[in-house]
Amino acid sequence: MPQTNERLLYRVSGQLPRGFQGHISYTTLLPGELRALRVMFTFDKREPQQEPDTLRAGCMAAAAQNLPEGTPVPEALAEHLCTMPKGEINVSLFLNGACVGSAHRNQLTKEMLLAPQGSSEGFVNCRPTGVLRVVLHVLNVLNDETNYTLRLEEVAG
Amino acid sequence: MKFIRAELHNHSTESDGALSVESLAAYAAEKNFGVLALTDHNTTSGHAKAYDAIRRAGYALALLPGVEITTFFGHILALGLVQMPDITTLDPRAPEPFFAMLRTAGARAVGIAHPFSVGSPLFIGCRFDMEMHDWNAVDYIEVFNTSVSESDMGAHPMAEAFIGNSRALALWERLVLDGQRIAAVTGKDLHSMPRDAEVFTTYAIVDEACTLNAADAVLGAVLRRQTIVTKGPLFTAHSEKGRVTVIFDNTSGYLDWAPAQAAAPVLELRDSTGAVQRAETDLRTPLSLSLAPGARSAVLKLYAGACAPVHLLAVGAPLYLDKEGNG
Repeated sequence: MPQTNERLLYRVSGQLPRGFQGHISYTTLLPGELRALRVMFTFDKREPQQEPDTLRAGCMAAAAQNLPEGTPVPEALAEHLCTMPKGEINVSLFLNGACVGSAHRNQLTKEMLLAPQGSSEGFVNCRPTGVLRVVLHVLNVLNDETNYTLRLEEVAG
Repeated sequence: MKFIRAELHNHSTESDGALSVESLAAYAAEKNFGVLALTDHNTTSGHAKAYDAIRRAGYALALLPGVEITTFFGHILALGLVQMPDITTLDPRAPEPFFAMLRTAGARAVGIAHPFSVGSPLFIGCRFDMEMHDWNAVDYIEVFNTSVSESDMGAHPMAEAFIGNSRALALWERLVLDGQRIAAVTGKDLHSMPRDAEVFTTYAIVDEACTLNAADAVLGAVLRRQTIVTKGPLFTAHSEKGRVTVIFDNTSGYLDWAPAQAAAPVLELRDSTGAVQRAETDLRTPLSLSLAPGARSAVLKLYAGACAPVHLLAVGAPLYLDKEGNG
């Protein structure tokens, strides 16, 4: 069995307030030509912890956007809708200014591998070298003090 | 004229879809699409795999690479885009430079996906929420996103309200009658295998003598607004000196006209002066209709019987007219 040798290159954490929407970029020079680069991103508090009535009102207003004014949203559907909002942060990676892909599944943890062969789905095969830019696309933060962590590792073998 | 059946909005496991690019291509081939656009969210990583899958399987299917540019303020379909650009510069209050940037980055046709989808906090970013000041930035609008109709929710009375297709069609119609040159298309927006449903499909209207490959031909048709969205019947129209001739296609193997014929189809012509004409059709004999004097654009819609959204069968390519009424 081949031994995987991973070396931490970079680790950064942050905290987001409820309602923040925007892009957060981290740019760093990779140390030489790596055989493969693993990027791990994770955040917490994906489920809403806010007052149920506030969330429900927002969901109902959204569901009614295309309905004639005054048309009620069916109660059974309303219950389902209120379970839908989730925190969502997506991640794009750029090498030397060129986007090499994005991780777009709404998951708490995203693990991305860049390599000449066998990059993760969502990413093109590429040699991880030069300037790496990681962009966090913060679409939806449902809770205050939402924590996130970004971790870069060299995968040497 | 010939018609190319095209599916212009789809996702694979390269973004948030459940279908591999191989499965997506197999589905499109099975359903007789001539062109399949792969438009994963903010990535082009599936393009090479899709080309390879189609080639290996020997499908009579052309890939149209693209991306669904997934922003906080709406989803933009960039067909022909093969290198994902940086999307962090979008200002939704002045989005035109962003649209121009997509073209500079390689997009050959730029459209708006599901503009009236339910938005925040249910589907954040899905509803188009940009202030357009110049609609020349937009080549097409997805007037029918059929993802809800082809999902388990399809029969739910709230399905239409979730996706807002009727409002998307109304927006397109208003813009065309205002003189904006914008094509109408459909999109399955596949994220998983759809259920069978009677939904609108896009056909590109292409000259019989066209020698372009199918993907380029479809792109060209979108840019020339030569697309028809239909549940079956196909037709083209042209105008000479204010007289519109509508010609129905009787050659396509895709058609299932029986339900339409049973309901005495009606063709509606609405022009930029506000005039509306309607004529019954047997879907075979060419129709001739007159435009109101001064009309500069017109929209053609085919209904199965009553002219109500629920009976809509097809929306033709828009007509744009010169001062003599030719177009």
